[in-house]
Amino acid sequence: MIEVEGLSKLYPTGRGRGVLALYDASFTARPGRIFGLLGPNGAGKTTTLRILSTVLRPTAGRARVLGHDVAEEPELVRRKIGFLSGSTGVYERMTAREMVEYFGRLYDMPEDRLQERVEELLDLLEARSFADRLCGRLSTGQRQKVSIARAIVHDPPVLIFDEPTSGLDILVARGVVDFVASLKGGDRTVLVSTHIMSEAERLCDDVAIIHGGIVLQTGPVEELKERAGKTTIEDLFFDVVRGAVDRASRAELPVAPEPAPEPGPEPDPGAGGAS
Amino acid sequence: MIDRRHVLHICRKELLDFVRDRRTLFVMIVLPVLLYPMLVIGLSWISRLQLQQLRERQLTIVVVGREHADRLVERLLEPERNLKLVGVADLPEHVRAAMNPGAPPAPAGSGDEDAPSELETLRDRYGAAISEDAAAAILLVPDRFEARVEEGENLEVEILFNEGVDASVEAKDRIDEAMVGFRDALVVERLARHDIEPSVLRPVALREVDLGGGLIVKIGRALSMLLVILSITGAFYPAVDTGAGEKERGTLETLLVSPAKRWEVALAKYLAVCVVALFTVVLNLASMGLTVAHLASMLPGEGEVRVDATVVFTMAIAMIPLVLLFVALALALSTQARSTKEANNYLTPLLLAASLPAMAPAIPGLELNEAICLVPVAGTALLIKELLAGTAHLSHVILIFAANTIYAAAALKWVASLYGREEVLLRLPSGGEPPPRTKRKKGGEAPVAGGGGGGWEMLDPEALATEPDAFARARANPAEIRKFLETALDRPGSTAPDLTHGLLLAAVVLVVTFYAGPALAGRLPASLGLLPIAAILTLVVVLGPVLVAMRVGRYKRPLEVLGLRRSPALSYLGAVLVAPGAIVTSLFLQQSTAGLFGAPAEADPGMNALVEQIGSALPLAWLCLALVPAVCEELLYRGFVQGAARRSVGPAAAILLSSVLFALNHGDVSKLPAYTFVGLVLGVIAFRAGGIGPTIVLHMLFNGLAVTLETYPDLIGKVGLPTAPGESISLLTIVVAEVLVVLGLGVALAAAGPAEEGPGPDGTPPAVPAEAG
Repeated sequence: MIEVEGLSKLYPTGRGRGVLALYDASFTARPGRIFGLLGPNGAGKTTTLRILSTVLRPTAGRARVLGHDVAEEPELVRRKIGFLSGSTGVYERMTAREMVEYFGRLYDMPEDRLQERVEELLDLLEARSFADRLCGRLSTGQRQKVSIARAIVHDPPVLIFDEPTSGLDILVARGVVDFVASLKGGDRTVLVSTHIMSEAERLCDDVAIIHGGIVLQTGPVEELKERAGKTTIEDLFFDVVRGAVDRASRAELPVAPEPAPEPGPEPDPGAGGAS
Repeated sequence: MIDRRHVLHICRKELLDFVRDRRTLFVMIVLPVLLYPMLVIGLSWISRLQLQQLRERQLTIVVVGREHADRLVERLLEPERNLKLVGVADLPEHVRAAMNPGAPPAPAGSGDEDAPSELETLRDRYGAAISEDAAAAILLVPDRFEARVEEGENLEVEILFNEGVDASVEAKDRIDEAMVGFRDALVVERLARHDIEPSVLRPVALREVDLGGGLIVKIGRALSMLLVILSITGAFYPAVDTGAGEKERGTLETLLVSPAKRWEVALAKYLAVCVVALFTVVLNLASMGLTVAHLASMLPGEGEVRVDATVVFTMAIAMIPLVLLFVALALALSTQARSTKEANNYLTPLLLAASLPAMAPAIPGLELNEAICLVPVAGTALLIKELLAGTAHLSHVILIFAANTIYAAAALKWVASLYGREEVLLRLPSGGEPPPRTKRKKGGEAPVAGGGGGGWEMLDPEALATEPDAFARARANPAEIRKFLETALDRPGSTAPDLTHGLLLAAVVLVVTFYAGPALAGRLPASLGLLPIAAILTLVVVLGPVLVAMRVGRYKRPLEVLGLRRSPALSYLGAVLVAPGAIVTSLFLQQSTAGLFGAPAEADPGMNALVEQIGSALPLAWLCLALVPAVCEELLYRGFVQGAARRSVGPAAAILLSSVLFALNHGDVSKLPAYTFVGLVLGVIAFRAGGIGPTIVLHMLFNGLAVTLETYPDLIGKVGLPTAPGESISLLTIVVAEVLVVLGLGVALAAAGPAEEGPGPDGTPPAVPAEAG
């Protein structure tokens, strides 16, 4: 279970300014289902997932993973999640097996259980043939398998995938999508971000459509499609995004009907209590 | 709480990573093991080879007036000299042509011409021969040389050579030897004529016995500088690899989502780099020790070898905290870099900064004292030199160890804090967040429609606070946010100087003061009087650059940029209270530090002349030495520089920076702590007051009171200040002064001023101003 309420993230850029990467986002990812965070590049997907994986701290709002607040109990949250992004690297001077073991030990897994689990994962991912090769010598697909094994070595109840297929060739990407699909079920919560609608179609039970740092719509896929009268997620997505863009540009054109900020708190040029 | 297992686990993995990297291994093991022997052997081999070649070479010299110097020529022709004597006529045709054939070479010694023209004549006549390599040197023998010498005359033989040509210098040395032999023989003859024993001329002689290691110590000293630098660089490669390298390879994020805490990751990486760096030090020391020992066995005549195991061990102990410090510094810099390339760029200045103090042993007369012990690299380098010479004190070893340990701990704290900062960790090489700063085009595409754009663009958080209603309405509708951002972005005054501008301006002033100051002072008519000249200088070298900067920068709110804002009355009161206390404190600091640096504060003759003039015109002195500098320097340091720095870094860093820059412009190193203190006081007050009004008052009182004290020496004694060099300030005065400083600062800090505009770069939410609009 992942609960996100009013989450905002402002990246300070110096000189008293900042970039508002995420604004007032709210959604819930439920166990036993796959939740998709859909949006174009730069929409705020990675920011959201990084906050959920406690790498970033939220500027405002809150997020809970299995009831643990990401800002207050980051260590507890990290124990419960497995995180994988498309741009994740591997340690080139370690073997695949060493790398998975390294992370298993960081999760404080008992040694015998770890060895058992490593063997299990090597079989599951068909990675036995290159298990003892240095990661620097592995192909992209093999590296991604190592990354997956690393992310799920502690069998986490919550899995977060940030564009897991970006940068992969089509065959490897297909394998990764299949694998993510196979994780569905039980009490496991899976959260996937992507801008590839075919992947979303295949994987997601629930989605949030995010654009420009704002969650435009969220809910079960079927419900949203029905409400919008669309048959595919792709159509739904463009419908929602276009609608938002239109509203924004309409508001932009005529300034007259809507008086700019109320006369009360008139922006003072010398603001900041200067004079 | 730190989980020891995590730290050790990560540390072990990092070490494994290093060991599997051939480049690390090379820097760690191969370089130190090979470098010292190669260096010693190579250098001595090259220099010996060159020397030998030169010795064995037959050198041609021209002797002008050879017929007058039979006995000298005989000595020059001795086989061990290996000289070939020729006349001008024997030189190749083209050389003679270049030798200005118009003027026949006349023997020198006429001595009528003045020196420079004589040199020019000689160069004109014979220079070509030496530069053309036809002759290594030219000897000018006077007319009837030996005959006149026989008669008892004292004569000069001139030798023309070129210091820049090795063969020429060698020829000069050989001729010199022959000449000395010739002269000694002449002396013996002359003495014999008067029946005097030659030994009469040598009633005493000095016999030199070097009790030190001789050559070994000299080589050891040179190697010790190398040792310090290499030990520091031993930390660089692994630090870059584990810091920036981990980011570059995209593995840092995986580590951050593991249960290991940030501080554990930082500590583990630090420990791993420490292990590598210390291992490098041990190898360096061992290699250096063996090389020196080997050298000693090859040169049996060089006396006792002082490099024994205890010395090497003490050296290792002394190096440890220095290495720990540089590991932390290197890791901190490397962590802030986006890529290994960038990290290397950051580390180069660090290496340069470390190399300078590492040269301390080469400074003649510089001996290790308590003050130098506190200087990071210089202390250790000097200690190693003293250890090799056998003159080190245990107290210095302990002091250096303690000081560097404290620095290392502070630097480690820095590393840990960096690992706690997301914006540092997520500076990814490319495509990472935060999105690149994009210049917004007015009336351009809406960011929402921008498709692949980087989300929302620049948002002025200040606006969030000043326009809460607009923000609240914007929450309801994304389109509103767009409009809201528009207004936020169009706020005036957004162009203001930042840290770079501040540093640049301070640097310009420093350079202008250094070069243009004295030049200008010499040009102003002395009739103006010293005081007005001092004021004019201040106006030109301090205010001038500030005005130029304001003109060039075209800042939207110039008054604010210069810190010209209203300040609360309490700040002024505080400033007045602080002034006398600050004078005493800075004097006290000056006295203490001057003692530490081994140079007692000496009276500046220029200052004395100034003081004499003050006596006759105290009001003018207040104007020229107090008011003008106060206004100019406050505009620069507290106004422009501190304000600019504040836009990029936190308040503490901004104040510290402006204080150090201020102090740097006030004379020598021994006064640095005193003026930094004054700068800090001024900086804190200006920061709290929100403007430079109070600090101008404080600065003026500070200078003015100091000037007044100089004029009334009897007053100095009355207030308990030293009247003669070497005297110390009375305890009562110091206590009263500190009370005043604390009281004044308290009053100034209590004054509620508009201390801040907007949030700091650390992203703290802006305080909503009390009276907006």
